[in-house]
Amino acid sequence: MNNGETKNNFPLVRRPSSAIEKAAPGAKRILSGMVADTLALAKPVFTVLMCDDQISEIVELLIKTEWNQKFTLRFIRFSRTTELLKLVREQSFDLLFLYVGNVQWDTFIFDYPQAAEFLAELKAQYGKPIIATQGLDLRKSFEATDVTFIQAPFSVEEFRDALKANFPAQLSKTRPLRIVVVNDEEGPIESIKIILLKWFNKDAVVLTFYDSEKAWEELLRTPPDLLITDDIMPVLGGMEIVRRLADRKAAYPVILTTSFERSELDVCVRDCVNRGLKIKLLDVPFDIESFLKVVEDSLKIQRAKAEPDIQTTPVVADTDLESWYQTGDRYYFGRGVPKDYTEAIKWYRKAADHGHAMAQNSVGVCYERALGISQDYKEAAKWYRKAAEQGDAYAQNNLGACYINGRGVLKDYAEAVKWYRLAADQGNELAKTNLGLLNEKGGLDNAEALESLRNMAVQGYAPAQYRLGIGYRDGQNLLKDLAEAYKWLKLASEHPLHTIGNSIQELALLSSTMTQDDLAEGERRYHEFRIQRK
Amino acid sequence: MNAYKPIIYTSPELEQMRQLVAGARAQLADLETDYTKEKSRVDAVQAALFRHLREHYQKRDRLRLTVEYRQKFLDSLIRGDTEAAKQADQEFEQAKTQSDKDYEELSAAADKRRQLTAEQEAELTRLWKKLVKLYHPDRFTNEPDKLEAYHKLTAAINQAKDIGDIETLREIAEDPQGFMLRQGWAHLDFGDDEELTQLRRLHETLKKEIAVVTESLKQLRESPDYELCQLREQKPGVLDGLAAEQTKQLEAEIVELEKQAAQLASEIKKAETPPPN
Repeated sequence: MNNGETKNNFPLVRRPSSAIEKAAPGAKRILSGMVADTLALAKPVFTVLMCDDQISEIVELLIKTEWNQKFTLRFIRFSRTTELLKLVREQSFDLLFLYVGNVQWDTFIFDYPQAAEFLAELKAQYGKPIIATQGLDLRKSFEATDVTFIQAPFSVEEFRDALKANFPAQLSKTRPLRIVVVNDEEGPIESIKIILLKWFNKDAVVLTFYDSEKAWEELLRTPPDLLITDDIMPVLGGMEIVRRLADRKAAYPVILTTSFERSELDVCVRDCVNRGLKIKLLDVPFDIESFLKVVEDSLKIQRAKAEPDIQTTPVVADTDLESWYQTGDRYYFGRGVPKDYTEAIKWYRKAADHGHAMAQNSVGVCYERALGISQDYKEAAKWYRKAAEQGDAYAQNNLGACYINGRGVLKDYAEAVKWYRLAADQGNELAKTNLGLLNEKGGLDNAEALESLRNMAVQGYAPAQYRLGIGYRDGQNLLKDLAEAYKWLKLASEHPLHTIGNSIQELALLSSTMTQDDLAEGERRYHEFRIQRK
Repeated sequence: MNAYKPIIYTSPELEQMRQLVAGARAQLADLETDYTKEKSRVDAVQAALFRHLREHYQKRDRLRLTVEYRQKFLDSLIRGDTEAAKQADQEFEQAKTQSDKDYEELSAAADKRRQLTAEQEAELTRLWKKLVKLYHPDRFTNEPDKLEAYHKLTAAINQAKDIGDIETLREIAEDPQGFMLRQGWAHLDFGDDEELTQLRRLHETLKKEIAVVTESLKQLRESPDYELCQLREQKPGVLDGLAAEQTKQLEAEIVELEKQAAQLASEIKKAETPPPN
């Protein structure tokens, strides 16, 4: 039975298979035509006048993936300038894209500057963005005009920049920097990576390579925004890499790190600079400041306003940490002071920044529930994780819940199970209940679990109340009791923070099937419970 | 059945695997519920759109065919190519039949579509939690008659899901054995696995299935049909407005096409009557 790979011949689910999708190709075409026509009516139209077919794909890609607004794209082609003039007069359009050399110039022009003038006039007259391109470098001719010029052949990125110049508001997303680091030693590669990530504060993607040949392949595939490579490496050394880059006229900056002074190297670097490569030498070992200065010079960017704490944080005594955390707690629960979440998070944060696990968990809670700070699930998950990794059971349970609900992290049940398990192993009751809740009958299948579930339900934990309600309704390992089911489902459906499962619908369904007597009894028990809790 | 199941021995690894399987099942059930729900909405929007537009679309398509055919026929007449004219005639008949068939088929499919009610959508969560428990592709590989029964069962679930037939889904979910018995299929055991290797394999296949559903859901959410569906959910009644506008455009197109068709018909008549000497 168990020989190797599972044959997934008849999975439970096979798609796509709806009756409509199974229809004949003609029928399918009719339907997708209807949908497309209707959508086209619903969305604003973005009209592009162009003379070159090839570019339409790029425009489509950029506008579909990065534009803030949804458009129906419409391309109108022309091949002669007389057609173009007629089009701009009669047609409203959003963008004109023109390959200078591919148009038939019926208009009387002699040279490229005159073509630029012609387009500048169009731009002045109609005020619509114009992008021109040509295999030659015509930047000079277009310099004085409002027409954007890019030299062909261009990359998607270059075209994106040209579009962005014309539609700054619509294409506002900034792309994270891509930095490639090549070094055959683990120490430097890891520290460089950490420094860069901290400095760019996640606005950078850092790719590291131990194997310089693999790195070279990657460089050929996708040019990065910055390359940091070591000099001496097996097989393909840094010097050879920069020579090759100079040969290929690479446009991105390069930092070459080296631990030996070699005249050979200086000659090579000077040669590369002369051939137009933006290259800088950096002596190893280096300190963080000088390293960042070189990176900054290379990228010609300003350092982020918020200085991240690259310097080591001053040492704080554990007793201070604990007292900060306690102060936070006092404000959080209002013990001896007025309840003040803003004040609480301030103190929690102070202790958390220095690694206090319980404080980190509390900061997470504040972020998750928007207490004294605006709600941010990502931040919440981040702080839970910090504490969870230190072994804090509450944080482990909270992180598990983040994974179940997809709050601040991608939904991942395996991760959730992992964190719940860790917390449950430390005896955390909530985590035990949560683990049980993952199972259909879980929490109901033995006396101990049932006890724990009931405890949590009585304490007001909505998922446990919900499960208990369902258990009583279906008689799952419990004596069927509709009034009891009603009570628990009603309690669960009222919880403001956790709108659990479908408790509201389930409650409605349940009450529609109950007798008047049962309903009254359920209502009575519900009120009894509420009074007891007060 | 019994409330107190005595636990004799549980290895931590086994327990962990059980929880992983439970987690994967919960996730799969979640995804299946989302998929069924959203697919049903998308299909309902498609069907509603079709009902709105069918008449005008069909009329327009027929006219387009007529114009195309008359043009071809006229060209052949002018060239004096009777063979080609005959052929155009045949092609026209075929295209007409095919188009009518397509519309009939779509109409039948659209009639079957009914959007799930809010209660039914809520019930899906519960049903799928039970249905994913039946998922066990490799448990019956060595027993041909059981394997056959399993395939039939999954096929039944699929079919019910496709047409949004929640009654059948409920029937299977509540009592799979009873359902299979009524169909006269072999008895299958859907109890929980107790063996570590079996659990591991189950977890693997569940993970694969999760990937499949995730991908399908992604594709669904990227489709234009879904976009339309969302539009309708944001602005109820938007579909009626759009359809009305489209109908207006189609009517204009139909008038234009009728004119063309009439023009071509008179030209054909002229070409058919031999010019007076």
